[in-house]
Amino acid sequence: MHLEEGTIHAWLDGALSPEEGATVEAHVAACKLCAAMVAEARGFIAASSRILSARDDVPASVLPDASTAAEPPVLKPELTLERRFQAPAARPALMGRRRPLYRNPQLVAAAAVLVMAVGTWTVVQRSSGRAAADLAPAAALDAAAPPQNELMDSGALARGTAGALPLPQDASASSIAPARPADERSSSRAFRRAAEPPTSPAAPTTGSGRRTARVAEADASPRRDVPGEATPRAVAPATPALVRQDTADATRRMAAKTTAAERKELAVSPDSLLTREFRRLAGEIDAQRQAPDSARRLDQRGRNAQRSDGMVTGTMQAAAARANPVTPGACYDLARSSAALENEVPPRIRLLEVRGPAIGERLLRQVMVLGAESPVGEWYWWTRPDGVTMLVRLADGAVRYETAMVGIGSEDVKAHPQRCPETRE
Amino acid sequence: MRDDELERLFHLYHNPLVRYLTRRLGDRDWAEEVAQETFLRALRQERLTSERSWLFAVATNLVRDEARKDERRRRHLQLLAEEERDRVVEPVSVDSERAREQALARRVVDALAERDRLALLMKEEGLNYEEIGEALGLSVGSIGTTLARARRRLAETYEALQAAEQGRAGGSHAS
Repeated sequence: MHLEEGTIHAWLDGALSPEEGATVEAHVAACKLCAAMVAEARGFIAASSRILSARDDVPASVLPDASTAAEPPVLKPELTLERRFQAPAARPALMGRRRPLYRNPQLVAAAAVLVMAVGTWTVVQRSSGRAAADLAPAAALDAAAPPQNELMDSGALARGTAGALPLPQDASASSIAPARPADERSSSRAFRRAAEPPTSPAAPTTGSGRRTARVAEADASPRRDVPGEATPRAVAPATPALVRQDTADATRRMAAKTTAAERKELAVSPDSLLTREFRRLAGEIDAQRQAPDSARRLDQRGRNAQRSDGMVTGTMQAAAARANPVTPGACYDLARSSAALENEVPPRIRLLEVRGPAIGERLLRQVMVLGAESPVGEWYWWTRPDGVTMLVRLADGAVRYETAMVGIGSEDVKAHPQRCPETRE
Repeated sequence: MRDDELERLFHLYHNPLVRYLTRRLGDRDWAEEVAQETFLRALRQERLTSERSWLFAVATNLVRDEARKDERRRRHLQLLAEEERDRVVEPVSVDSERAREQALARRVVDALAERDRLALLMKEEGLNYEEIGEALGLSVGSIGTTLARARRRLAETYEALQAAEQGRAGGSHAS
């Protein structure tokens, strides 16, 4: 009586009880036919992993070290914020699609440096010497930080290619029992070897878990230019506002010149420039929280004027943080920093509904935005680690058009009720 | 479910779930959306007894629901059409070789029976036999047989298609 194929796979997967496993092992040791079936099953397991891995559009050479692969993936809010603005260009391409030139990491990095250089030059030309001095370090820091996919590739270069990895060696005949728990097995590249008739049973090999866990780990690699680490530069309340205005102007001009189709094709779209803008703002919020009261009062004096032109100030964002959590029925002004957003949402919105609490940063809380032209269900909000409440929108499967929501005091709403939408259209 | 509990689930299972869905759907963005909806549904649960199998089962059901939407289908078909076009017109190179391998793998995986494919994808994400059985409504005793069949078909079909392609390539070179 020989073993069934299902039993062999269950044994190799570590799904049998110790007693059952011992019985199977004893039988395989004594039965040549079943030993051959075990070897064949191992080949199929390895082949399956290999084929499934081939579906993933992730080059094998970007895998990080095995020492880091064992750690569970950690969600880093600052990184996910960055990725949102780079998505979908910086994400792994959809499987099987032709990879355009602009997805080449080196070209993306070069484009990012070029765009930042142009932006910096524009600001320097338009700003006072002090403002330019304030912006230049940030631009230099941004330019110096490699994009996400470049980080992955640079690690890959240091480690060499997948083809250089050794194939698993066949075990001796006495070690035909599963050597490790099934979930810890790896080496799907054994398929090439497994395709050949095995001369002796080898340790079972399955799983792309390690491979993908490594990729996840690479995704979570720390970066220097993140909101939480933004340098709280000395913030002179009036001057940085001027710098922000100039930067926003430059962004708007670029956005205005770019069609929707072009924005999709650009490696560094005008939208992605906003990432740096928000990073800088986040740093300034921290600085203003720590600033003496005199500086706060000075900033407060310029608040109204800045509100009229649509720019959000650090103080206003801090006010938004204090307004957290967002409540249904509340009225909010939006920071006017995204042309795409401005075309679809009125400057003042009322949140009709809030579903569910926040989880980290990746899981967004859905809201229904009154007055938005986009269908209900596409708008979300979240609170960033720095406490700023952001309205975002899903477009093309990615989170885009992140905009700060500035809570309006109840007195303001009472004073100007006509300015806040009351009914659904 | 409490926020911290859901956050723990999210950190534990988000990546494997997205990978599973990406392999299932062939579309990373779509997979991210389905995974997000899955966690939102988990949020509405008081308590999950078998959290991993629950998440994978809900994600699988969501995919089935989503598949009924015409827009999604069009998008998927459009992707497949693009891939087919790329596969035909691209010159032979390292990249195109990899793309060809991807397309082949996709065809082979998609050719599996639904139950076999799902069981295989879940096993690849580390679910044990009990969890796979719970997620797919199968008995634990049948999972080994299901996986054995899926793996054999996958490997044999892949090999056959690869041989057929090589034969076609050889024929075209000869002619």
